[in-house]
Amino acid sequence: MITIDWILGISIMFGLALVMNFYISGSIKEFFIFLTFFNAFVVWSGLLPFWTLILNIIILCFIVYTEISSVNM
Amino acid sequence: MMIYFDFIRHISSNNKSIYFKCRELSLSIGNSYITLSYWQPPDYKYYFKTYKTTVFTLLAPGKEFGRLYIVANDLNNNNYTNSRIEGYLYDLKFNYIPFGILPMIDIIPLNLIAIMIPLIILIVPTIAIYSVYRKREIIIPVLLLMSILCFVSNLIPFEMFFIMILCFGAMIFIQYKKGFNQE
Repeated sequence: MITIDWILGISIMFGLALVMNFYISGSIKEFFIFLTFFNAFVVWSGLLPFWTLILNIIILCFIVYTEISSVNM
Repeated sequence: MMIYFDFIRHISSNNKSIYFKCRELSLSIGNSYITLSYWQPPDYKYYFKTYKTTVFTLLAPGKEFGRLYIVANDLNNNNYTNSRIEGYLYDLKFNYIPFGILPMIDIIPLNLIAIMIPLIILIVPTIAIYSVYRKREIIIPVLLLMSILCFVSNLIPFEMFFIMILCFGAMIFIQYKKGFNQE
């Protein structure tokens, strides 16, 4: 059930990630990395459940995999 | 000045007393109280009044909460001081009611205030140093340095540190690839 702490956690997570990404003018991949970083904080504070962090880490692994597979040395 | 208790992370017991780690919080508006429940197996020899009940202790604002006494009596108001009692306490909660309005969230904003300290220590020096040098490559090393400082000063747990290292590793790889493609 989505409660007010979900709304609070998601707003904090996305807000901080967007601000940091805007500040360093990063790409969508860097945004997802910041999202994982701040999601860890929000999960630690108890606002969001643990599976959101697992989902974010899976997305992060997928991003890193696409980066590795598309690298041209 | 008010205190709040971090029941989930810091609790210890020696079978006689329960200890909580508490921190001071500069919130003094509204009411705060502690609730906990006591449960005893129903087939036990002595039946207490507090069988599966909730202890409700109102904390006076402005006063520090030192000790919480729970006196358990049976139905005849006898408290068996030297007896061994089987039962346990559970569902410890600290509730804070700002402005007398019962919120949907009780301990969660206080937890959020607690994580703000490492978050500020991580982000503010990073943004400050980035504002001076204006180089994207400086973000991750500073974040890494500040996270190590937070970890060794016990501000963040190891799980958080591990996820941070994971994120920074991915970020370093992406930035390295960007720089490699630009050359």
